[in-house]
Amino acid sequence: MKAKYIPLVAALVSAFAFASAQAQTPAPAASAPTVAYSPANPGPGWYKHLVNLDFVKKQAAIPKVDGVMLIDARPTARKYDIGHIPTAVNIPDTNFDKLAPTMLPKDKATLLVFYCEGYDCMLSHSSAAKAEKLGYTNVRVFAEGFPGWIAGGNLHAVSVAYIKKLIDEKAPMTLIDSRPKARKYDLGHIPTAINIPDTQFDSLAPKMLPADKAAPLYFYCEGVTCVLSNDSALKAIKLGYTNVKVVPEGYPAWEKAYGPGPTASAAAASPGAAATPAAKAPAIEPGKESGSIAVASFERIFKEAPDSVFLIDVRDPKEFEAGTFKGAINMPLNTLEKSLDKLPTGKPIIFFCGKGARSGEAHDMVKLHKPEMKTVFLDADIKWAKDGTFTIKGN
Amino acid sequence: MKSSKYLPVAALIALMGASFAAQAYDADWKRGRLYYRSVCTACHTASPIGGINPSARTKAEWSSYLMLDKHAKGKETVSKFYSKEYRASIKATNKTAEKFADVPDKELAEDVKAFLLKGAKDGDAPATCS
Repeated sequence: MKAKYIPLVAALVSAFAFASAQAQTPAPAASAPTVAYSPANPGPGWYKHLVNLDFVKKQAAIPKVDGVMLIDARPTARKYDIGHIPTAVNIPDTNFDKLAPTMLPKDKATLLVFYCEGYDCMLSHSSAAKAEKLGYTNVRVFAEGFPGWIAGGNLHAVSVAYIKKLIDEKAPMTLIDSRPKARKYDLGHIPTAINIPDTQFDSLAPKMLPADKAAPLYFYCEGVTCVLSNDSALKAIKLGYTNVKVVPEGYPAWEKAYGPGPTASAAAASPGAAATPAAKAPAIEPGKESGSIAVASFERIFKEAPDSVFLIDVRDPKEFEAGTFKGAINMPLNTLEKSLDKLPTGKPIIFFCGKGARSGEAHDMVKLHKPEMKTVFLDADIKWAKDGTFTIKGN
Repeated sequence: MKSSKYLPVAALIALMGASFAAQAYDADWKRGRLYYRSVCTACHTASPIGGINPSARTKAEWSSYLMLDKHAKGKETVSKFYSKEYRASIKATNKTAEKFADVPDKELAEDVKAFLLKGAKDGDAPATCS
């Protein structure tokens, strides 16, 4: 009798054990275990030849390395423009078939390194496979992608299209042309850019860069063969700036995409006819009194490029309300010392008042406490009419 | 013996040197202005003590006031407020005093005097505090 039940019991035990095992095994699709793919554990569909960060750093060096093409396979506007590995070109995987024939090098032995958005991104693997099909023999994928590049503490590059967008949106930023002044910057530069030649960085940066170390700085020079912007960017980081980026394609790419930028001679010859924001931003010319701006220089800036500076009225609120320059903000001198940390940054400040005394004191006060800030004062007798007009008479 | 013979001469030369050095200091009225606003007008507000616009007095009146060196109707000296000790005592709450911590007392006194004379009623640029 007992033996009769043995198969049944065995079947029941076996069924229970199976059911139990099933219960402990997650359902395949809905809750599949998360697999952390990496070069050591490549995911399905990953390209077979992978390279690491150290390898890519050597290929992304500036001046650009010959015989190498770094390719960002991500979408242009949403990803590449706002951040990519220096020297990389952009061939979005979705447009690979269309763009590859014209953008990839003719030499099929050229080293092609594709990357995208990290381990979960398949775009670079997909593009690499397509490139191999086209006959390229030296194809690699940097699976860590742009996130891995940034996590490795490397410079963050943006495209000139992104700079154009920032300029058009009047976004707060400091764009720095690291090239020599007379030979390069004066002959044409990206609108709104200030000029801090890399060779003069140490002396000019403290005066020209914003005091706020978190302010966005963008450095450029003469394209991917030019190392000046990279060098200056690294110096800025050493000074404590935390939001430093480079525009490796630099002025040549700007000129190609948007035409020649403003020149020093054009701005001087016909400042009123300037077509670009930088051309509308004449330089601050010093006045007679130390730290002051010449009245003519102030009038030119106020007329042509008021957005290129901050105008701060240091008179009392009642005086301010009775009439001031359009766009000016009020920071009364009596309260300025306690408000020094609230001073706007990113552009030069022009202090003014009614006679030039309080504005001069405001300038001296900022120089004493925040010498890194770029400030001047209008040493003049100024009168505002109710209709918004004004007269300025230099002291 | 010889050295003691020349002592008075050396002392005279030293005195002259000190005198020239004192005369050589070119007062910085702008620095005086900053100190005046930050330290003097911190207490001398319209109330309760009363403001002290530089232009409220003539140059002669300011010179006389500073020479007499009497503050608060003679209860203390004016020069006390230029002293390093005073600056040290307020530096925790006064950024300008902290910045000027090492400026010699006499220089700071000259700076403030230069500002007061410039901003006096009959000065080059009569100054108010507002």
